Amino acid sequence: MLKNYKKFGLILIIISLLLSGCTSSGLYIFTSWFAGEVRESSVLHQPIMGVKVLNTEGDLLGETDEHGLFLVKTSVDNGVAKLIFQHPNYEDSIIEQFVDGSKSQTVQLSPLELNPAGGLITGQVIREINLSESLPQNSFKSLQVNEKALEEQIIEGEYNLITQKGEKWVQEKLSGKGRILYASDSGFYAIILDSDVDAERWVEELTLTGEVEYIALNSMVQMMGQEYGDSDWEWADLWNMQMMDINLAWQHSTGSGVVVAVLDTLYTSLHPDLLPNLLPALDTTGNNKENELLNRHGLHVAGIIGALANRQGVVGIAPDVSILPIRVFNVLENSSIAYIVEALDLAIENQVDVINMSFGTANDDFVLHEAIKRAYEAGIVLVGASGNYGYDSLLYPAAYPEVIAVGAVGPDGERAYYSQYGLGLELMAPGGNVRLGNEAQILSTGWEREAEDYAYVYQQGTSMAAPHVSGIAALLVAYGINDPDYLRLVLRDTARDLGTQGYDLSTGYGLVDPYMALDRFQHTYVFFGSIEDGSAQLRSPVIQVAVNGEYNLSGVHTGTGRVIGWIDVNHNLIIDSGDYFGESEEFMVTSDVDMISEIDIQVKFIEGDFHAINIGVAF
Amino acid sequence: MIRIEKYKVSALLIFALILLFISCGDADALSYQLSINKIFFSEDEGYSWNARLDLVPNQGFYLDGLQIGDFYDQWGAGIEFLLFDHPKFATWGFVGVEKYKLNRTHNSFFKTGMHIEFPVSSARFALKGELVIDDMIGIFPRYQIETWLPKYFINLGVGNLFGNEDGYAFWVGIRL
Repeated sequence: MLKNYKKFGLILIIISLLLSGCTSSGLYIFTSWFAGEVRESSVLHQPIMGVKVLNTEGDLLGETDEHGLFLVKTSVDNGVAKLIFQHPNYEDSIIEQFVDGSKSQTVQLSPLELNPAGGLITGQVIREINLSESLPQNSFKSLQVNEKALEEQIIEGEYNLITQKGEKWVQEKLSGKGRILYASDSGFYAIILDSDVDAERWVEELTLTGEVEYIALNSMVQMMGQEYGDSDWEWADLWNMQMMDINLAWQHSTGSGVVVAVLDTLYTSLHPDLLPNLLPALDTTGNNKENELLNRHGLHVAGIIGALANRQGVVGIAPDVSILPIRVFNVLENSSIAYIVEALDLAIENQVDVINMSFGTANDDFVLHEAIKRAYEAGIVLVGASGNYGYDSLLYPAAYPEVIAVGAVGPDGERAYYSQYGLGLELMAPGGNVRLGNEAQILSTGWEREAEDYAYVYQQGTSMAAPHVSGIAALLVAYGINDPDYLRLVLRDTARDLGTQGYDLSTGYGLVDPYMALDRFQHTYVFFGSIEDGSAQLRSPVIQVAVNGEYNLSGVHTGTGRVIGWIDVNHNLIIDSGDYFGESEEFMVTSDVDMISEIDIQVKFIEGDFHAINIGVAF
Repeated sequence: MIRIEKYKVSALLIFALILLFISCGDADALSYQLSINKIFFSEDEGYSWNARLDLVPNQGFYLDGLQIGDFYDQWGAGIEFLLFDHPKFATWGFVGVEKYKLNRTHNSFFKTGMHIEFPVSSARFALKGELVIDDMIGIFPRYQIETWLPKYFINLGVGNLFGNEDGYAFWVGIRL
């Protein structure tokens, strides 16, 4: 037995010795190889070449290569290695690394900070805006207007008139024949003729004076919401808010300090989920009375924009926004071009930031378009419902190029059956689709007719889609995006593509995405440096630009270079196709100048083949 | 890199213990040795100790330890057995397991090897070679040569304890 046991032991030892050929690294107790990479501390975290790695005695152990990588061997004192990283343009860094017995260890080194430098450059990054290039112009000829429907919308006896002769002149012409309903400073008059007046003859006589720029019959405008009963509600029912990832968007903005005018049926309301956000209401129909039954449509629209985030009821896209209700629908739930033109003027007068228009007409009305243009020129973001008749052209005012035309999707993310589409359609937003179930509509603030009480009700329509975009526009304005064109571009750029890739007539630029739109401004950078051989070389830290485009670039090192800015659309931290890129003229930073100001950079969209620019370290 | 799982080490030790107890019928004597040494490396110094307890003339147990500064601490146990008993030398084999703490790492290794002991005049010499199978590092060899003077309890040794240039050391101490 003992003999076998000895044989076994011997064989075991021989096998073990043979295995020893596999490796012989051993335990490293007093020396070790240390590997790692050195990067700079800007948002880009670029590798730094030529960083010296020293031990505590000051002996040079090695340097980082062009990828910022190093591999050095050093002795260890009492189980701990100390490595010192030195670069003339960066602050020294010292790390203590415990040995773990392995031959080489990876070192996790904090990014190196640039040495303090005195240079300061200020300026602004300005993004190129060219709406006409990115949005096909509306072809009004493509609209297939139902002439009979148009005739039915005419309001007999009421005219919209534009003249620069003044109100007194108009009153003289109307003397004994009618009266002015509304007169604007811009020369617009809504008038009504007495029933016994020969309207056609009167219009002909007025036109012959040569003082009338435009006169046409007033016509009706329809609201674009459809009500299909109501239901109990809960947060889970707010599929629209979940689809918008609205919780993420609120990290950046909740719409505080922004005024959205809601041109709708709402005058004022005591709805507890909306009241604190409502400004004193206006009414162009002359009603001026709270009428909850009439309010229903506008109440629903306003709730989508700005219902309170109070963990009760529903919540709006911009829960801290201020809503200016301007009623444009009369007690018969009819509106007209005249009411809307007056409302647009009131909105301009009250300096609102956004106007929501959840209504439409097939009538391309000159007066309406002029009023829309005035609002647009006043710097107001205009949002309109594309229409609920399901055909392939848009209603006005959404069809006007100054207005963001919004179509509706259901909870399945598909364009709703009723949502009008075609040239000019810009964005999609949740509008509901009752064909997928009652709860597939939009839940918002409302009025329950039977109980005669404030409630939460379901409605669907492009009327519901438009206020989603108005609310998101309010979030962006509150975040500092004051230029309506820029805001529109951002909404288009960041929309979630639907249907055919890219812009298409069926779903426009896609589903509006508030979080991505707000997050875009986290990815605009500038730095001072140069571009050599397709690689940008830093002479300053890389900093993020403020939301309004302004920047203060401190720690700039002396030398010749440019301020280089870009919007990193694809978040890959290099300047490449799909980003926006621009640079200033070349100039020199010298040590005797404290600050160089007003270095503005126009960034332009990079299209097609473009050799990507990596960001390196110049020093 | 070849690694050995802890459960395999345990299984091997149990198997070796079974072999040991099967052969215990030849027992007719008990012997022991104890050595404690101050150990000097090129970069640092420490202490090592070793205790052997042979239940029978041809097999027994050992316990050992090694400590360097306050960053390395190793201790372990194993069995040893006589492989060849020649009139001029004796060859022992052994298997064991060691635990060690190096800074914040805690590891263990299995080791096996043999040592040849022979007398020269009044001194005794031992050549020792072993193979370490480490959880983290892999396999590496260790070797050493020791001499001691039983009459004066003096023990001297030199060898490589970590399988690379860090492991060269000499030690001096007492052996009982």
